[in-house]
Amino acid sequence: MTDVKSRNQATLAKKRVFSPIWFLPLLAAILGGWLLLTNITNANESISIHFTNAEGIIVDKTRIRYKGVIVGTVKKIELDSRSGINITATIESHATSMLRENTQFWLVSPQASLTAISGLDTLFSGSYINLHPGNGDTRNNFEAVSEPPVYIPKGALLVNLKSKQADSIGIATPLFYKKIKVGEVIKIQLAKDTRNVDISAFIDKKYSYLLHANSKFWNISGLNANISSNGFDLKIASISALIAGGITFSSPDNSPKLSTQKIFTLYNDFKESQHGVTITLILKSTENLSNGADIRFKGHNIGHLTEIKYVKNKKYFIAKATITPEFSDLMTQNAQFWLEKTSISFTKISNVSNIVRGNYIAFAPSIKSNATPKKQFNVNLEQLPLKPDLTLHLLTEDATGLNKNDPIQFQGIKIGEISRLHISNSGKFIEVMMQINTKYRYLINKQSKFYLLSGVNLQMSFTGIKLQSSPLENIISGGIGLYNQIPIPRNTPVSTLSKHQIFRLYASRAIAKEGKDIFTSPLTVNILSTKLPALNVGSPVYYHKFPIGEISSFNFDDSGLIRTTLIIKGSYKHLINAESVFWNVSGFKLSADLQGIKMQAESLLAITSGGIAVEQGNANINNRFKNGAYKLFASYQEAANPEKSITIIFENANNLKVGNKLKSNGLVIGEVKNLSLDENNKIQVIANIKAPFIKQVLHKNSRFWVVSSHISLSGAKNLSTLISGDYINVSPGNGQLTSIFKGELNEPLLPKNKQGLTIILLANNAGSTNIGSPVYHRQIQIGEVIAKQLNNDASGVEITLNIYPKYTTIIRQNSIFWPASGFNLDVGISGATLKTTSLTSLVKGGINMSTNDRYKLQAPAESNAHFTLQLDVQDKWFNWQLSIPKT
Amino acid sequence: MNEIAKAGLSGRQQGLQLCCVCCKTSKQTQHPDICPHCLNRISLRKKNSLQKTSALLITAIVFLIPANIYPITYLLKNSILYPDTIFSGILSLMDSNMKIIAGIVFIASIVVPILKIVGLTIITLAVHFKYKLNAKTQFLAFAFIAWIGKWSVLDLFVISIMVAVFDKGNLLSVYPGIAASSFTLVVLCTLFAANNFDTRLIWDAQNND
Repeated sequence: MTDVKSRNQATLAKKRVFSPIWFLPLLAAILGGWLLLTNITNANESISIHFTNAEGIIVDKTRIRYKGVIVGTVKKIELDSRSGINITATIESHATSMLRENTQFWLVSPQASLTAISGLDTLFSGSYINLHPGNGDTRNNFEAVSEPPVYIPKGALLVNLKSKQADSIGIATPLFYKKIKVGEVIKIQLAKDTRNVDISAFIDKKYSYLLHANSKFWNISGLNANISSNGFDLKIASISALIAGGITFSSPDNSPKLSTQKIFTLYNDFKESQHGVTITLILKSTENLSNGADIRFKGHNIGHLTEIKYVKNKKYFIAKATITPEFSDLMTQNAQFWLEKTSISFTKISNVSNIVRGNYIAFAPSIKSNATPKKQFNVNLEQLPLKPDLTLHLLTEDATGLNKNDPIQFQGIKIGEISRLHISNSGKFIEVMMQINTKYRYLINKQSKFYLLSGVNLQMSFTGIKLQSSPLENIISGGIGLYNQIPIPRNTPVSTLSKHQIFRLYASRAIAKEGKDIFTSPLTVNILSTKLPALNVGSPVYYHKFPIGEISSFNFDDSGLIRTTLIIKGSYKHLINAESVFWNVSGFKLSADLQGIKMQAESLLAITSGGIAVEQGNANINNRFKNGAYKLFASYQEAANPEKSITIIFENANNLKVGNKLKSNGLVIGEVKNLSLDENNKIQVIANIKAPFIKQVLHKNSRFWVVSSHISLSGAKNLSTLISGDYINVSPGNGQLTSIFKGELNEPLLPKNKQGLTIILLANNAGSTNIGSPVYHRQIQIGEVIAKQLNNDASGVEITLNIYPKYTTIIRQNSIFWPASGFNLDVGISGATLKTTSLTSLVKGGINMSTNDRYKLQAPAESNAHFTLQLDVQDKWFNWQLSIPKT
Repeated sequence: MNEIAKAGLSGRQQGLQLCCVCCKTSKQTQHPDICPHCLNRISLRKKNSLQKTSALLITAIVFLIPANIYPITYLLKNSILYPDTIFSGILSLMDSNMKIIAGIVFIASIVVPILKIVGLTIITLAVHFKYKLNAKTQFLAFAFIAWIGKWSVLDLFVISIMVAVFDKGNLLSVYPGIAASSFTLVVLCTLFAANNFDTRLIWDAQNND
């Protein structure tokens, strides 16, 4: 082959063939080398981070980021000996410069809150570790922080807030100023003392000037509903604040600029933020007093309680309260706090709203304008009197009807009120503290007297009921009245009273008027009675129906009578004197008869427990026994006008009974007290004559007869006695005074009121004539039949007529009498004639009388003249027309 | 004028040359550069075959390193880039309990390229330094390498599909990494290296003592 070449062609020099393909590996080598070089120069740095919790960290998946840029990857997770997790991560070479001593790493997990969704990317990408570069030396082992370091925008103002609780504040909770978002919360943590929550927030640079030294921060966490009796108050700051809460602040206009770093207090609400000073209140009890209860000054809300705590060893409550700034300077010495409760009494209903709202604390400032400020106060259960009002002490034994706040009145004008009632130290009295308005201070002097204002003054008597009442308020509440003997002019200088001046309470104005020193030791009075009165120990003694004492004991007196010992209160001692008359007012007296039912009742107390009344008698009442003891009368009447006892002797007792009345002209003048037989077997009636009638009745010529019912054809008489019983009629007479009388069974023929001419008619029989039958003259009644009886030998009848005095002259000696009874029927050819007299006479019968006009007028008939009753009536008798002169 | 070659000896030894275009043998002496049958250019052996193969092999080896070290794909899921090297991809497949697929990927992406490079390197070295290795074995190995070579683009094929399919922006996207390019180069280099290798050199090396 070489030969061929050499022969045919020029032999080519065998040059070393270097294929261009070799550029390829060279290029690759260069590329690889460059890659290697970059790899070496940009070597990732391995660091280790210590986490307490590696939740969500995945090897190779979890990145380390700085401002969102991935700067590293977790490469290894391993448990650490010190209860944590060590993470090895590679940090990309470009970020290695950030690995410094103060560089912070924290784990970012997805966080969705209502205001912001942060780390939402991590929802899908998983958690990542955030890197925040710091300064210092380079290092590669780090301690992860548990939460993101506070990130404050550049130039923002950092605000530190202190709050009792975090409430709805969270990180990124917005900070508002006039509802404009000016910043946000960046950190919340429990304070070192664990009692507060420290909240850090920033205010953007452009708003930082809004923060003043006196700025107030409060929570506007969403819904602020205030339900009270005042209504329903709903405040929603903003929807985002409603959901996520928010903090707002206000800066007073005149507040100084914020000079130094200051920790502000975060208040729960606006109300709380507006506080001035915080005071401490000491309470004995917290009746219906809620936390947050108002403190009011004249009804205006000036603060509220913030905290109520019970102090065990001191046994009281301590309440913290805040007072709004404008009232803060009133919290001084002598300022007063008291609990306002609902009070429902007859006179007033106050603070009803407290039932719903709870009680509140009322406040009254000190009078002195420059009192020293004070921070701790006692809360009284009620308002104490303020200094300028005059406080008076009044002693009384009985405070019935007196209440706190009852008025003190002077002539109907309220000049003060009762501030307190309590039992005096000695235990004997009730001490009444009264507040007298300064305005009326001049009315009080040493001589002033106070009396009980009873609302109603009721006087019941037979004449009617007299009711005197003060205004309705007094009826219910009563009160105390002021009485000054000498009127005090308005401009009188205020009289100084001794500090220990003690007034007494008089029972009534009348007593006050009288009262000198009536508050002395009680008076013991003995009264004697034949019978034990229906009373008990303790039964009251009344003076004008006002109890002034009570019965202390019963005993036998030496004389054999019952001795009742009364204790009269010292204040009423003066009411008992030598003329006093005592009588029993036990229960009520019920006297029922046909005239009706009469009830006489004393006070209700007297009805139930009985009592003894005392009254001023007059000198001529024999009100005492010889030994000086008082008599106990059955009534005042009995004492003042004692009844007189008389004796009436009757033939028989008829229907007489004890209790039958004695009447004169229909008026009851006495009563039968006793019926007995005397030695002659006559009925002896002992009757009492009432005092006013004694003078008229107790005369010799007075006549007594029994009146019973009488029914006959001619009429019924005294029907009332059918029911009420017979009574003894009395016809007062004259003559000597006597007390023994002879009684008659029938009405006397000539009772005093029926005096006239008595005429006796003689007749064969009485016919239809009856007692009471009229006597007519020309059909005019001129008299009546008052008796009819057989004559002595029974041969005829004697009819006694009584002609009324004005007609006595009509009866002449020749007058003719004929019966007018019935009717006269004449039957003849001309017809029948019926003659009747009056219908009365038709029924009752009657007697006609006429006088013949043919003869001269004869002398008037004498008394007890006898006439014959003509039975054969002649017509002409009706036609006689004799004129008879009156005299 | 097709020369009949005898078995047992190489064509070169028998003074024959083969036209690569018309696949006819001819005597070496006749027109040494032109095929007497089709008049196309003819040479006894492929020109610079060993050099080309070696150079391409070296390139492949160089690129094999970044292909395995650097991420072959970047998975962008929720704005986060997850780089995956070939091996980490296989491991993640293993973690996902897809062992068969992991095995296929492992064979196609790691075993095959390395086998190819190692095989070709051995053959090339044996030819160059005339190691008396079994020529038949070498040829079979070469034949296997040449056959399997095309399968090693499987990885790239998958990546290209993924890149095309997962293109949803920040939510989910796949981007090829630098290793993908390297790996492509590796595959291409090995393919060309195998293609450029003249198998007759194996026997030349056997005979040329």
